[in-house]
Amino acid sequence: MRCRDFQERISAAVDNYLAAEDVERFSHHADICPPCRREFEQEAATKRLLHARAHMLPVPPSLQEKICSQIERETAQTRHVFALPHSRLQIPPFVHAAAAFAVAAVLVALLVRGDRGGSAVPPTSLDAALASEDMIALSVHTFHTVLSGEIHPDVLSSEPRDVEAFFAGKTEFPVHLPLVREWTLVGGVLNEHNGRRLVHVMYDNGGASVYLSQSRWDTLQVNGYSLLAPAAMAEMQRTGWFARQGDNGIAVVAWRAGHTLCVAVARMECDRLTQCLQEARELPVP
Amino acid sequence: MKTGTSVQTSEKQRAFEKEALPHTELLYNYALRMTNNPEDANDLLQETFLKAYRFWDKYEQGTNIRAWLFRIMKNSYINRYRKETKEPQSVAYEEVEGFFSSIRHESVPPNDLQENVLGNLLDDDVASAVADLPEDFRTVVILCDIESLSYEEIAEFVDIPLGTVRSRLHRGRKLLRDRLMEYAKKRGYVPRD
Repeated sequence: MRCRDFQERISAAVDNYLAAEDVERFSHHADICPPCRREFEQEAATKRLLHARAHMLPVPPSLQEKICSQIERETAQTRHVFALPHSRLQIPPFVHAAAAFAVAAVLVALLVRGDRGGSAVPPTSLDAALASEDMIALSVHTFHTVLSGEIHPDVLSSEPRDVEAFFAGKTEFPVHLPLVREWTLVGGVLNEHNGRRLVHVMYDNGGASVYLSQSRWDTLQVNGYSLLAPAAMAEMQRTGWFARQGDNGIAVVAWRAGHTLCVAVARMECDRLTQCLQEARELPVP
Repeated sequence: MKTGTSVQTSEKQRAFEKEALPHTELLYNYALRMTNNPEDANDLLQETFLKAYRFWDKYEQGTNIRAWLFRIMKNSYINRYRKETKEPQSVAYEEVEGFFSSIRHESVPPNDLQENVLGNLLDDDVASAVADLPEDFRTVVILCDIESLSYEEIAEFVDIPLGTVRSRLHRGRKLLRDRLMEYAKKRGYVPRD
């Protein structure tokens, strides 16, 4: 064995990983080459020193507890996303009666205003968008319904293909399931509202919910009146998307994806939500 | 499925507690040696288990759970610390340079004297010397010499061939020894040359 071969095998020898056929040649070289032997001894001593002086430390009980309670908390939050009383299982629509009524009232208001030929004041904030009550407002409302645990998911799975399979053939527009690293798919609901099919998809973002509503883009106009606030519509037509941060910490991003209108709602920074959707290639990347 | 949301979640929690939590000590010690700071190690460990729990359904049953957890921790470590330090990824160079380094014939104290000198070092010195190693060498040295993992497991954890485990260990221990000797010199245990 040459010095070079010996050097290559020092760590294996120190750790008892030397191949059987090398053992004798290795020790022979150590006998005849003092510098190599010295190096081998030094490495073995370094390992011994480290082993003796840098022991494994036990995990402090307080840290152990922190980890357990963190998991406990996480479990509780995930449950909260879909905490469903069994009595609701038989009720088909996801939006409870009051919300359905509110939406119906909005549509009436929109139609009335449409007849008069007036136009709503362009919303400058999410709250204004809420006041003007349109698809975005409906989405924000549904987001709150998700948070309060009143929605019963038709499909409950973190696997995109399960959710995709559930929606397959049931909508006249393609359903989008953005893949964002931090988001875990929770499930989806399909329902109909005033003749419009609505798809609802929920994600879990570290215990917080991200909600995504989807509907057909070209049914947004009802009797010449848009179901999107004019400012949002104008921005969507110009850039293909629209994003706003509400005063209450809720962000809304709406975008057009082919024949689908998507509206994402989450309690996070609007920029972050936009970024997530850009990551998922749903929004154009600047 | 429609009735079982909470049942599913608690099953997940049970499985996680049974399979992942027993490896807390291995990860804690790795975190401790990588950061050389108990507070950072605490944060890193918590972040790792939280992520592991969130992505539990991504873990493939039957594969090496320790390696899976280790990779989550390694990525978290990189995200947290490498951004700040911008440590150059110089392994390729370092491994070539020095692996077959010439055997030093200079006048250094004989081995037994060196051992005495190093024996005087404090545990803290040893910990700092480990923490000072370049990341890739530090990782294999911690896993092998402190955590006593096999070469095979280290190779799987770090996703490198066995031969690379061997060469990184050799180089890592050499660097470590040089550093320990420097500490000993600073503390006056070895006459300066």
